[in-house]
Parts: sequence; structure tokens; C-alpha cells
Amino acid sequence: MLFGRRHSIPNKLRLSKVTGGIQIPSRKELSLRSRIMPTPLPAQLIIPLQQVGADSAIPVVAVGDTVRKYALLAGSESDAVVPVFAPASGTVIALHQQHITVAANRQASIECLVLQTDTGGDESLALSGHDYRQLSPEDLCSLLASAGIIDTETASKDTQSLATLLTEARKTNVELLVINGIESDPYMSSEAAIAREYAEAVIQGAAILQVATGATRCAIAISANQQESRAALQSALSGSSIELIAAPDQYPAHDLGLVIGGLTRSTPATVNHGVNQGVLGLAMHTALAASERISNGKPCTSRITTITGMATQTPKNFCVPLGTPVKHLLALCGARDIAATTVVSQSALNGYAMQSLDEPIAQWHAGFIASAEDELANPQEPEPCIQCGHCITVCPRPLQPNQLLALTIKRDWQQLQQSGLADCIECGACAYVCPSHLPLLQTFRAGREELQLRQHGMQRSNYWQQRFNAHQTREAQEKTQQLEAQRLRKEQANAKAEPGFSRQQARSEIADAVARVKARRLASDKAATGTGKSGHSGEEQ
Amino acid sequence: MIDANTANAESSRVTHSPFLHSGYNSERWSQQQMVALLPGALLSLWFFGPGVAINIAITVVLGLLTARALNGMARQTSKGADTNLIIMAIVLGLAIPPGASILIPVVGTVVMVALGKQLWGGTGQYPFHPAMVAYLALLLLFSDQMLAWPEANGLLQFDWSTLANKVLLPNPVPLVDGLSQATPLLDLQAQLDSSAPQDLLAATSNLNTATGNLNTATGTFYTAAGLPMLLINLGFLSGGLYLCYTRAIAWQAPVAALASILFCCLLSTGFLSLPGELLGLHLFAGHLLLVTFWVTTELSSSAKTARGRLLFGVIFGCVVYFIRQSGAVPDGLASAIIIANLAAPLLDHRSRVASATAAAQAAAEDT
Amino acid sequence: MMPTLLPSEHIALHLLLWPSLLMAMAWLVATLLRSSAQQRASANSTTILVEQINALLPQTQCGKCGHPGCLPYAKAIAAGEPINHCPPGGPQTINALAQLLADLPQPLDPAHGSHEEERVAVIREDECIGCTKCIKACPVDAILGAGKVMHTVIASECTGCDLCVEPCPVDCIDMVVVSNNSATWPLPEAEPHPRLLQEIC
Repeated sequence: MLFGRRHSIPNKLRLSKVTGGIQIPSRKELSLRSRIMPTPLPAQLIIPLQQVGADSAIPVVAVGDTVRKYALLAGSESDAVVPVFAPASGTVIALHQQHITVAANRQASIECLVLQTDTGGDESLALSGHDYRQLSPEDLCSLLASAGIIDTETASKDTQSLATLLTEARKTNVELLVINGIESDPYMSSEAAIAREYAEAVIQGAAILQVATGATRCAIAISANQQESRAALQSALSGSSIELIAAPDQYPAHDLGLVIGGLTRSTPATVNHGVNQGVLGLAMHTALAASERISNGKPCTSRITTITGMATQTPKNFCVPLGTPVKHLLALCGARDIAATTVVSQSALNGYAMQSLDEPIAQWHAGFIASAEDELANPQEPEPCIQCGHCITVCPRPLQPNQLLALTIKRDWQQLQQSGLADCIECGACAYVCPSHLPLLQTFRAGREELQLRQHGMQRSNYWQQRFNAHQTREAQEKTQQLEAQRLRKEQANAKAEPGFSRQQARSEIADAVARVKARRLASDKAATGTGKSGHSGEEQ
Repeated sequence: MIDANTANAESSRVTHSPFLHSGYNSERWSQQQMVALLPGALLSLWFFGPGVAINIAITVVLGLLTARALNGMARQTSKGADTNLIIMAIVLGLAIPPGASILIPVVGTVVMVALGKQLWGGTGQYPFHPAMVAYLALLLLFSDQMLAWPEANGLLQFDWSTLANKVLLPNPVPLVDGLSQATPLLDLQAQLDSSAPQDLLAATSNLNTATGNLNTATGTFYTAAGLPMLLINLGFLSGGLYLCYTRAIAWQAPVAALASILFCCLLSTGFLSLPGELLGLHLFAGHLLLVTFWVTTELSSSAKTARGRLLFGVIFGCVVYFIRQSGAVPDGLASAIIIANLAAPLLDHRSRVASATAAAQAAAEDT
Repeated sequence: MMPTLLPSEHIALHLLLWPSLLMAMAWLVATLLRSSAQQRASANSTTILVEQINALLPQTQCGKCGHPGCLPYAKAIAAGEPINHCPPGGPQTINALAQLLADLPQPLDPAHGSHEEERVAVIREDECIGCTKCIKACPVDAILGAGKVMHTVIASECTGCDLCVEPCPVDCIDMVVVSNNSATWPLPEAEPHPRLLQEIC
């Protein structure tokens, strides 16, 4: 097998249907009826400082400080930690740990900064933009890296800082940059709304990112059934070298792995967030944020988020300052009886129900569905698997969910690894069609988590073993060195004493000397008793 | 610090994506199956008389009762009626000759539920199609009665006095000279046995030359007495096509099965001409279409991957043809299904390993 | 003309069919057995077996099993020592070992300690007198320091083996539970499928 072989990227970019996948009636019209709305500022913004990875950004402001809009709140030296900017002017009133749902199956305690917004006008820093054509790729990269942008792939499955992605892209000589604007979730419409209303900015952002990454080609992918968005992009693209790809109307066409597999016409493999097979995929939000950063100088302090669902009276897309509590937006949409409704975040297929509506909106939140009572399917009691094989038919990966479920319940980790549980993209198509209502998606999520933990544990114990081996080698070495040194010392001591030295001789010399002294003393004593003089004894001393 | 356990309990209560469901469930699936079975079953009832209805009633009611009782013994809670079992019971009821004693469907049903299904762990666990297991058992136990298909006179000319046979204990009944079900196939086999050597290919090529008697058999099959069976099978065919169209069943196994039978028939003529009579006899004389659309697509015992289903159908079709042409029994459907069932896990496993390896290779190439 | 098959004939014919089915089944079982036998055959060689056992041990090198490190214990297991002497590995390791060695899983031997949550050593640095005794005890060189200066534990390297606690003359080393501050969805409990045969027998 050739190591690191790339599938060549065809001249004509085309996305055909993936094997498997499901058709879900779209409910995007709900939120696409109105235009993107700016959000009136809430009284407080809760800004999580840890957005990507394991490290938190270090706050540069203290409690009680007043900040202006776009001012830096927290930063770090490292590329992997994303700096945080003030989405509005106000006063920092608290810095504390808060529970934030960071993924569909995980809550984490994250350091958050609470900003009391000014009741008066929004006072912002004076910012100036540039023309990206006059900037070098390096300048563009450093500007983009310091803008606090994170790239979110497929509904919070994976988030990565743009800075890291740019570095990786420049290192690996990326060929194709894909701006992924495909949304196959039936409810979420933020990408479609962005393409419809900010087509020019998106295309400019794509061009900026193309220069910054050094990609030779750039394409924007969007769902084929979003006619308005496609038309807007098409007209804005005239005369540009950027290509437009229409994705089939099918769930989960949005998955980056499937997009890259489809474009390069290769087997959809496990795709990491970053450059795969010469292709870098970035979200449409990232392109918009990049354009804002370069043209207007603004760091990323807001995002477009969908608020929809039958429980809201006026579902729409909002331009939300980051840190706005979810309930503030729901109230703006006229959601009835918020406490009793289930609010689902990210996606109706593989999202999660919000535990608390006080949670702030972060860059990874694509949208929220406030569901009326009979709108979303209630979880039903699972029945035994009847082995109908529907899950195999709809799985977009070459997996057999019925087998994986049985293996996960049996906890046969070795077999699970061979059966490709790690390749699961957690799209939820299997659970959507399962006639027995088996919790396939949940089980696979938990199983994948466990599998990762086990792999991590395995790596760690291998590392410990290495350390122990190194420790033993070192000890053995030290011991031999010690012995060697002892031997050397002895030899040296011997070597020094060797010329004309021996204990016997020394002893006899000393004995001789003592005898001489004694003899002299005797002689002088005799003389003293003989002459009576004491001067001799003094001399002797 | 949040208490991890309470968070877990909370999330297991609330979080349950996907929040949408296709609405497809096993009840709907079995409704579709029953609707699709209706034309064929009604035509059988019309041509073969009330015996068909009695058989089906016995197999369905007794099947559900037996399953309930055995579930109780295994302390398994079954939610609602086992819809999959009803379909299997109807198939078994249709496969038993309408004139057979009621003891036969009773024994068949108990074997189907107890040995065919519950013994292996019930729903989704059995490796062989329970109805076919039961059919094979009946064929072994009551060979004469299971091969005695009456003439299809239609309900209007039905001889109601023959119903008396059904309540009697099974005693050797003379083989009725009806040109339906297995008898034309028996005829065919007799031709092959008498006129040809052991070699299958030679035997089948002899068919064209030694068609004297065979032609009369097929000829009569198409004209008078064979017509009911043709109509019944067309009923099953239409139901099966409906199932494929609504995607209640996967098309791969039936299509592969029928295609491989066609291929075998073509092979028998050396691809020189389409053996119309032979094909007609294979497709419409026995219960091939019933088995093809309702048994090869059974959920638990058949293959589940697309490639596995295709191979499953091919194995089934070829074995059926082989048994019919040179096997011991006239109609090898049940045996063919059991043999294909044996292969099913292997077929699925092979296709899984192949795809997992492909994915692993692609992943290795990525790094 | 019409061949009427007698029941006895049928049974005879089926007697031909069923053996073929049984043979097919036997072939299937034989293939399965062969594949598992191959796995076992590869484990026959002692060095490979020791490697496999060692891969399942947690590698904390704590010596609670009575051996100086995990590899010696792996060798001892290969030579027939019980598999339940590893407290850091706990039931998970015991089950994995039982599976590898086709042995029955046993509860952990309490003589060797109890299975506890993951911990790391932390030195109370103002109390440390700089005696270097803990540095000498650490099996993975995770403690940093020199004579008469303060020592500290590199948390990411620490295996939580407890070996440094004993030698410390001023008892300034604590074992701290590694906190995982995220709550995740639990894996569904395994539901054994009740089988009729098990219930009846």
C-alpha cells in the first residue's frame, strides 16, 4: 500500500447520492420565512472561555472592569486556545465555573465570564478593515488566527480553532478548499439563510480563506433544494473562480467525511477535522467570520443561529452576540410556555435536549428547536431487534448497526473495533428508521466514547511501560556507572600510591623516626642530668 | 462540581436523539405483508375451498397461543401480538394442502413456534425460517398427506363431503390426481428419471428432445387444471411486487432467486431458446413465488446486507432448481431455504469484513 | 406412469438430504473452531503469551501483585499464577485476562489490595524536605527534584502506584483522585436475552 496516497480530485466537482441515507420532510421553511434578525442585547452575556480543546483562555480583564465591544477578554499564547472578545460593551461582573453542554452526550464545567451589558448605547472599539488582495497569506493567517474563530463541523461533533486548521492546511499543501454550507437537518436553516442574505460576504470569505490556506481550488457546497440560496450564490459568483456544488437532498449529506469522499470519489473513510486527501472543509460560518475579520476588522463575537419549532410563534434566524442565553432568544420568538417545552439543540436527528435554557449560545450552536407537544417523536420503549436490516440499508457508512448494537451491549471491544464502530458518524439515520425504536444512536455514542477511553488507556499504559523500561535501563546504567566509578577510584588511589610507597616501609620509617627521637631524648636526658641545662629540652620541643 | 450520577440519570431521561422517527414499525410492516398476501390467499381459497381458510385459522390462532405460552415459560415479556409470527403462520397455512387433516396444521404450528422460533430465543434470534422448519418436519411425518393436493375445482364445485377428511386422524389417502402444486413437478421429475442419466445437464438437455409426455403435462398445466395455480401464483406475484415497490421487503433476494432460476432454465437449453414451458412450470406450478417473496425476505433468518441478500437469493434459486431437477423431493423450496439460511450469517459476515477492511485501508491511506 | 412415492421412500430420500445439511453445519462449526484454534495456537508460544498478558495489565508498575513491575507478573501468570492479583486493573483487567486465557473471571484477591479510582500523587511542596527518597522509589521517573530542594510530581506521568508514599519521611505525599469534570451518557446495561432452554433446564 502506498503510504499517504491521495485520491486525485476530479476536474468536475460533483456530489452524488451517498449509499444509504434517508429522506426527511423539510421544515426549514418555518425559519426561512423571515430574514436574519439582529438580536436586542440581553442584560447579561455568559461567555465560555474554553471553546476548543482542553485548555481555557486566560482572562485579561478582572471583575469590575468595563470593556468596550470587540475588546479582548481572554487570550493565550497557544494556537489551540481561541481568544475571546467582548460581544458588547459592559462590565465584567463575574468569572466562575459553569456547566455547559459541550456535546450531545457531555456536560463539562467550564470557566465562564459574565458580562453585564450597558443599558445605553453599545460602545465599540474603532476598527479598520483591509483589502485582502493587498495582504500576504501570512498576514491574512495571523489576522484570522487572532480573530477567535472556531470552525464547527457537523453540528458540534467536532470543533477546531481556525488558527490550527490554517496552520495544518499551509503545512500539507491543501489542493481544494470546500466551504460546506450543506444542512441536511430538517429544521436548521442558518447556513441557507447566510447564503441567501450574505452571499457576497461568504464568497469574499471563501476567497480570503483560499488565499490564506494556499488552496489551488475553492468550492462552495450547498443543498440542492435550497433554491433561493443557490440562486443568490450563483449570481454573486459570476466571474469568480470559485465553484458551486449542489449536494443531494438527503440526510446526512452534510457530513464532511461524506462530502470529501463524494468529491474525491473515494471510500468514505474516517475523516479528521482538518486536511483529508488534499481537501480542507470549513463551515460557511467560518467564511462569513473570515470576511468580517478582514474587511471590517471585526473579531468573531456573533453567529447566525436558527430558532425554530412549532412552539415558537415567529421562528427565524438571529444574528446572536455570543453568550446570549437561549431563553432570551426563545422569548424573542414568542415561545409559549418555555419551561414545559423540550428544546432540542443542533439537530432533530442527532442533537440533544437542553438541560437548562440559561446556557449561553456559543460558536458551535447551529440552532434550537422548541418543539410543540406532538411535533417531535417521544422516546418509545424499545422492543427486541427483529433483524429487519433497515439500519444497514440507511447507514451512510459500510457498517451494520444491528451487529454493532449487539456487540456494544456485549461490550466486545475488540470485535467492535474490527466492525468499525469508530467509523460511525453518529448521524442517527439508523435510529430514525428502526421499527423497534432501539436506542442505536445513544448506544453508539456511549460505545464510541468508551472505545476512545480504552484506546487512550492503552496508549497511556504503553507510555507508562516505556517510562518504566527507561527507568530500569537508567537504573541499570547508573549501577554500572557507580561500580565503574568505584573501580576507577580504587585504581586511581592505587596508581597515586604506587611509586616508592608501601605501608610496611612507611611503618618502619615511622618506627625508625620514633626510635631516633627516643634515642635522642634518652641521650639528651642523660646530658641534662649530667650538665643541669634545660635549653636542650626546649630545642627538642 | 456536578454530581455525575444525577447528570447521567437526567440525560438518560431527557436526551434521546433522534427526536424524529420515520413512524415505521413492525405493525405497519406486517400490515403491508398481509395486504400483499391477500390476493394470492383469496385466490387459493376460491380454487381450493374452505380447507385453506381452516388451515390458516389454525396456524395463526394456535401459533399466537403457543408463542404466548412459551413466552410465559421463558418469562419473556412480549409487547402486543407477535406480528412477524402471524405472517409466518399464514405462509405455513398456505403451504399445507387444504385437504389435510387438522392434525397436520396443529403439529406444524407447534413445531414452528417451539422448535423453529422460541427454542432459539424468540424474535430476531432464530437462524432458520420457522415455517420452513415446520414444513420440512411435516413432510417427514406426513409425506402422503403433504403431497396430496386436491384438484382445484373452485369454491362453487367444491365437494363439501371431503371436509370430513379434515377432522379425521390422518390415514393414508390416495394421491389425488390434481395437476397442481407438486404434481406437475413430480411428473417432470419422473420424465427426467426415466429418460436421462444422472448427469443434470444431459438430463435437462434431454428435456427438449424427449418432450412427448412432458409436453402433455405442461400443456394440460397451461390449459385446464393448471390455470388455477397460475392465477394463484399471479396473485402472489402481484403482492410481492407491491411489497418491493413499497420497500417493505428488499428486492435483492427475490430478484436474485428468480433470475438464477431463469438462468438455470436457460442453461438447460444451452441458451438456444427460452424454455417457456419449463420456466412456466418452475414459476407457476409450485409455491415458488410465495416462498420467494415472503420467505427469502424473512427478517431474522435471511441475509441482511445488500450483497448478502443477492447471494442468498442465488443460493436459494440454484438449490431449488437442483432439487427439482435431480433431488429426491418434487419441490425443494423448504430445503433450499434452510440451506440458504445456513449460509446467511456467513454471507453477512463476509460483506461486513470486506467493507470494514476497505474502510480501514482507506483510513490507512489517509494518514 | 405416475410415480407415487411411498412415505418410506420419502423418509429414505430425506435421509439423504438431512445428512447433507448436517455436514454443512459441521463444516460451519469446524471453520469456527479452526479460526479460534488458530488464535489459541498463536498464543501457545510463551513469549507471545507473556506479551499478550502484559498488554492487558495496566502498567502502573505498582508492585501490588508482589512482583517488581507488570512484566514479571505477566510472566508469572503465564507460568500459572492466579489472574486476580492486580488491584489497579480491577475487574476489567481480570475479565480481559480470563477471556485471553479461557479462564473463569474471579473476584480480585483482597490480599493484594482493592480496586480504587484513578489517582495521582501530589507533593505538599512547602512540607517537602528534599530527601530524594520518593524520587528513588518512583518506577516511571515522574518525580522531579534534587537533594535538599523541593520535589514535585509531573501529574501527567504519574501512574498512581503509591510507591512514593511509603518512603517519604515527612508524609507530605497525597494520592489525589483524578477528577473528570464531564458527565457523559452511560452505556446501556447489558440485558441477557432470556432463552427458553435456560429457563427450562
